[in-house]
Amino acid sequence: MLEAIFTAAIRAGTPLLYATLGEIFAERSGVLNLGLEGLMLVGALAGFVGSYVTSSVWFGVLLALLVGGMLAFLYAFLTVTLRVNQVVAGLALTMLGMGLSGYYGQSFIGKTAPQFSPVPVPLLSKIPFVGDVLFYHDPLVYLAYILVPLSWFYIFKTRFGMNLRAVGEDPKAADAVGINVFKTRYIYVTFGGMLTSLGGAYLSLAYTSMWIENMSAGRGWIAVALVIFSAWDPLRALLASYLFGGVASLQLRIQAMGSAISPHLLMMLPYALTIAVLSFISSEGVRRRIGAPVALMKPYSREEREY
Amino acid sequence: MRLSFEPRVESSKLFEISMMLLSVGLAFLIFTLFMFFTGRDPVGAYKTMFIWAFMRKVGLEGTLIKFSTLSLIALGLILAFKMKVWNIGGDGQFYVGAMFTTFLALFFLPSLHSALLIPLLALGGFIGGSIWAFLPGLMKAFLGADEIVVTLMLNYIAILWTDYLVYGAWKDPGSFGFPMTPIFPDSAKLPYIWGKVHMGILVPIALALVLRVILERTRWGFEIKVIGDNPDAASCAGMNIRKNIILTLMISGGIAGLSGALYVMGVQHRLQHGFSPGYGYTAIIVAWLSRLHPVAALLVSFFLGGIFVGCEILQIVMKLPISVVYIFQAILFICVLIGDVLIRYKVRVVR
Repeated sequence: MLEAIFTAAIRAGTPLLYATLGEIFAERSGVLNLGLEGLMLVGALAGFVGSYVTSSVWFGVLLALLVGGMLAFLYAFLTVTLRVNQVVAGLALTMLGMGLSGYYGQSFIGKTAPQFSPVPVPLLSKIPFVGDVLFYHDPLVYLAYILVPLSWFYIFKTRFGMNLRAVGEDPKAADAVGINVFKTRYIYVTFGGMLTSLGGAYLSLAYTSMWIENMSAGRGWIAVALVIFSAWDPLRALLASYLFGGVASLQLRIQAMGSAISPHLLMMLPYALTIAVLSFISSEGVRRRIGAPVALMKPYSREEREY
Repeated sequence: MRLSFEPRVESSKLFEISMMLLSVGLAFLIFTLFMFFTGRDPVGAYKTMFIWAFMRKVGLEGTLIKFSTLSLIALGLILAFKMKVWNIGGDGQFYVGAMFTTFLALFFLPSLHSALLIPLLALGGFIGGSIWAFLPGLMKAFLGADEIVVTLMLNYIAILWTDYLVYGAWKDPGSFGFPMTPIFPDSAKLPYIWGKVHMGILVPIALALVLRVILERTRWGFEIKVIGDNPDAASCAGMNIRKNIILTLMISGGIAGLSGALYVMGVQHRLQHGFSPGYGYTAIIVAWLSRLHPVAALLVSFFLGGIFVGCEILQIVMKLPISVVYIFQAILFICVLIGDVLIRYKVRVVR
């Protein structure tokens, strides 16, 4: 029982984890991308279509990365080069993702495509309890396991990561020491979008195993909150995502057990939890202390002294 | 090669209007290309959209109904946006307003005379919407919580709550399983003034004028603007920022709730599953395209209402998925945002 809940928590948390990781990269460079929901939807459809057309899940993954990267690049163009307001540009991106995935996805509703299936890790999956919970999953879950410490190491321990953080903290100073602020932001917004899109692909290629319109159901927005919850730190993002995944899958489990509580009320849980989490970690003081990038949402331009 | 941005000190109204029109034009151009490359006939599509949305009685009725719903939500958002409080929860507030009104109409006051009942139901919707906006207001004012995510989460909760009611306790026993409440008593229905267009259409028109006066002539309107532009100066001048954030969000949400109330009283006459195709989000585009001018928001809502109706027709005539409406809105939104930058800055290419 407990085993099943933990396993389900990891499965449900994986799409959130990809999106949260992606957004951490973007926000660390100083760009808030509120378009995660749209990117996930586009990723979910692209992944499904890629897998459907080529009969290979990995082509699905590739297509999701490609399309997600393209949309995020567009977002970078709007916010970094054109300095469009990041709050509303993110909403526009979400709308675009909803529209495009709905439009092109219409003919894929009800179809089936090759799916990821669990691949037990040799030896490790034989460990009692832990083996079943952690090492009996599909490859995308393992990829996330690897990405988390790698991202942490990259962001906090390498020179590239230091440049990334510098751009998000003090772009003027970063520029002065010769870091290309614009290029840095473009790179990480695009890379973040690719990861987010991959999170969407996980939904259609492993989690729900089909394409449903609006299937991300607010996960992109939850990931925006998880970034704050995890204090822009990939390691904490892992815990936060699996915690939320746990709540989501617990909710499904209670439903499946035929509980008297209405499924509609149970489905509110992840959203309500997001609000609860935001209410005690988002004061300005806490944000600064836990390491919110100072230049977040502030477009950069060489000419202006202060914006 | 990069772009340099120099803030414009003064920009004329005419310039703003022409930039916005240009943005709309650009959006149509991009959308035309999209239609063309997906193998549709753009000219035919526009013609169908335009004729049905604005020239035929049925379509024009639909456009006007959508206008009254959209413009009202947008007016509420404008108030919050002026203060740079990003109320993205118009959709949820719309739902909760409709929910409160339905509760009053079906279970609480169904025997009142309509002259008394209708204002009370409208008030109920307003209160519902403002309650839904109270929580994010409180969280923003006292905890600094990001109102964008909170209002968005509340949208999902409001939709689920509506579902909970219309699939459960409030479900009409005679609805053959459809998730909807019984129909309202006649005394709770808004009178029609033209075809299917209900009396509620007058509310946004009146409110736009009132808001214009409030924003330009009153102390409160001034405070909203100063807090939005320069919160530090506002608090130095002794303005109560917290109170203003909560109050403005509640009124903003209340207006969206009122829109929900008028919608259930005037259009559907009942509460049902998923009755908003994202009006709260479209209203955000209205607010931006009108550059937060209440009266301009009326015109923009009429235009976007027509686009909605036009796309619904295309769905039937050309078998286009309804998602094209979102694609068009997104393209329009992006173009408007670019237009906004060009209004605020002189942009030059430097080498």
